[in-house]
Amino acid sequence: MRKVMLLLPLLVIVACGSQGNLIGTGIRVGLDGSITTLDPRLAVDARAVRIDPLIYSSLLQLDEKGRLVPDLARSWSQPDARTYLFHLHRGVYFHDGREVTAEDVQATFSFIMDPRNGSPKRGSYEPVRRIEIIDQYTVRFVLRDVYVSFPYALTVGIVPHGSPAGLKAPPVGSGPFLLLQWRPGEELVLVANPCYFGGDARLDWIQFRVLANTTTRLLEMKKGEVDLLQNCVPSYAVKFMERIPEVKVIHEPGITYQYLGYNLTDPILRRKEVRQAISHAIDREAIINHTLKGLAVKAEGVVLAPLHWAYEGNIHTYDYDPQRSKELLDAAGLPDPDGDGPRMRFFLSYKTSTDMETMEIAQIIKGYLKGVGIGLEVRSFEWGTFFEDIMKGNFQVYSLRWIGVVDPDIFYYLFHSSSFPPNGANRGRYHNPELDKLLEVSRRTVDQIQRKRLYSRIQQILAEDAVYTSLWYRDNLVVMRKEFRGFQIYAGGEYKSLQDVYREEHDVVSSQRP
Amino acid sequence: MRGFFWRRLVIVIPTIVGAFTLVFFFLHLIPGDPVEVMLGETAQQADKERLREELGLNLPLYVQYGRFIAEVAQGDLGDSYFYRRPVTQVIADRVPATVELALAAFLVAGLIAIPLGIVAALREGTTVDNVSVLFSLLGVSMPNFWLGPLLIILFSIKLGWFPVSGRGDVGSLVLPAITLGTALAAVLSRMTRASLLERLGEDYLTVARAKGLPEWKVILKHALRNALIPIITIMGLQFGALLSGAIITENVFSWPGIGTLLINAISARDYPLVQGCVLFITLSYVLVNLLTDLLYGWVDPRIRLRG
Repeated sequence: MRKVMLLLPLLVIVACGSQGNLIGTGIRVGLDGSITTLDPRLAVDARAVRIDPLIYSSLLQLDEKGRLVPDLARSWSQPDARTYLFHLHRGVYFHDGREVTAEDVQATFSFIMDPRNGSPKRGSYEPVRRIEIIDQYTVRFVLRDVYVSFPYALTVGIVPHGSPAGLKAPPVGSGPFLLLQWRPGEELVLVANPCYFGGDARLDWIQFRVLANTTTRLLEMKKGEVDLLQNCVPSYAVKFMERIPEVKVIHEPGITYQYLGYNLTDPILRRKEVRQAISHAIDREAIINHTLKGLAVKAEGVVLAPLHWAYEGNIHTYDYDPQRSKELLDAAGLPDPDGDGPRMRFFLSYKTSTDMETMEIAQIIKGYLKGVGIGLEVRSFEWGTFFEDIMKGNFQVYSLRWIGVVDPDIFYYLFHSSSFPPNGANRGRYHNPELDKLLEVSRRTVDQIQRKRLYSRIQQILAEDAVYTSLWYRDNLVVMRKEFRGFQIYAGGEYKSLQDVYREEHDVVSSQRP
Repeated sequence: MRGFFWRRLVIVIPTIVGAFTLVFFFLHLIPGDPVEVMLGETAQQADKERLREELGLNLPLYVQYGRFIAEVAQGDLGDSYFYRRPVTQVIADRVPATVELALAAFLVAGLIAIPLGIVAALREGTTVDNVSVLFSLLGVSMPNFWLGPLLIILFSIKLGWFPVSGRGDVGSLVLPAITLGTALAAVLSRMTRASLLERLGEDYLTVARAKGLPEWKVILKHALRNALIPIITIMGLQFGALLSGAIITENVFSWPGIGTLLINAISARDYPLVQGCVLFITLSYVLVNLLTDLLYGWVDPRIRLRG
């Protein structure tokens, strides 16, 4: 095996013909923006996180439903609540021919945990006391305290020990594809790793192209110069895509959760009835059907999507009911000064980014709230400014989304009173001692049934208090050319299933790179 | 001539320092924290503080400014926060694409505008002139985010002559160059027409004709050369603007140039990279203007003598 691995550079040369042609069958994937770094120890941008599993293997990985499954780990066990023991597959090799060992696992996580390396992921490893190499293929993580969500932190790609950080030459991995070429801001080309321990990929190469302009992305698909677009086709363009005979449009329920957030230190919004009234005033189904063209599912839960094991559906829900909304506002002591006349009960400021769709939705919500006597001033800001305002609590109402939530411990980060920014994302400054206690217990509860009960109660409290107004879960939307088969949509939008994709017409021997 | 050149070159230094100073302070004034962007919301507060210290962002603004100017004076633009690479390298990667597109657009504009302007001036009030007015009006009015996709649909999707987007062979340069060059051609053709019309009644043209010079020589050598000063001024300024990045055209054609880099750097609050881009843009403007001034001297010897 090692000899074969050492021949990899040669195989890569064979894969690439002259004049920049890639030989064999490949797929061209359009991206809506650049990748910052491919180093899995540093990468936090969504695009890199979704591509990295193609290049790097990890101890554990998320499957298409967002569940944890073993990858490099042949098996794993928990001798006690604070200790995790992993046994690695033998004979797994990095793309440079070195064997993957416990030393590489230890080095990867030690790199992230070393403050000098400035990894944005360091916080997730705060509970780790030490990482021990038991033997060449066994590694043990010992935690300071019980932290049941810790395995979610082990989905980071493993790189060879001694790999320097940097963008110019990303470290090698042991995944199904290896990096052939990366031109930041332009393209990323991967070729199949013939020695991948999980079986050969069915494609010979994958080309990711950065196509930041939406119209250009759609036109590239129309011309046939792009084969796959995932979650980067706007709702209004789906009909246009469906009219292209060579293209198929697939959408499946996703886990991207859109919500309205409130500043609970605000004298008006600190009243629960006001937040509940806003939730009742918005016709989410109408927005989903008309503006989002049916490409979303109304969110009844809080943050977690219905497929999640910890999801609780038996909670206080908010159907579209303007009359109920008005009653709640009256009960809160905020009467409408002139009935259905033009004067408002009160005004709120609604902050959003400059994204076209979010701005459009903000205007629709403004219309709904006007109907119950709430004046909304919509203010859109460039992302950096908008986000800083949200972090600093300089807002009344805002709208954002949570992407790829799989770990229910996120509730601690979002709603515990110790998670006010900058220590967490409790941006609305919600403070509820009962919830704090439940959150603290839930992250230390090993028993899954007991844990599920705790999270159910947590979601019931959050829904009752209307800390967020849940809007919808966006569908994962894939547009791809019909000849490609085998692509499976991952809940978090990962591209991992490209390793199983194949092209039905195998008569195509060579594809000219655009 | 040499004195003229050096005097103009000396002015470059205060121009660059001025641009740097303004951008430095404005950039630090706008809200948004580069550390938040780099480490994300989930990072530990202690790590954010450590990074802020490492980058010198915890120091008073005037100290940061002093350090920044001292580093730039030594040719060190620092590392990009976002790309974690030296700013000079990140910019150097984008410069060829930017220069390539600017030159091509400039060529397109010049090839369309100057002949059109000359013909329109010589045939003042005729259909040709009216067509040139219509072209200018359309050229100036059509936004690049609309013209670009229109050209793609026609030449790429329908006719299949050029790729939709991306930077590859010469073919990939055609549509972005036309998109970018059209508005410039519109302005230039009007300028050429107006400037040439002013010269056409001059006595020295009558003299030239009386000497028996062929008409094309009278127009090109005597009238056009004297009409060139305002045209060169506009071309110089526009070329500087093209080098500073054509953000919309780059975006439409997925062209990896300086404009997109700068916009992304501002969004990420990547201070060193923004400042590096500004240095590049300022230098481009200054050098192009210097070149324009030198061209004045070539076109009109009186300017050279005064210089």
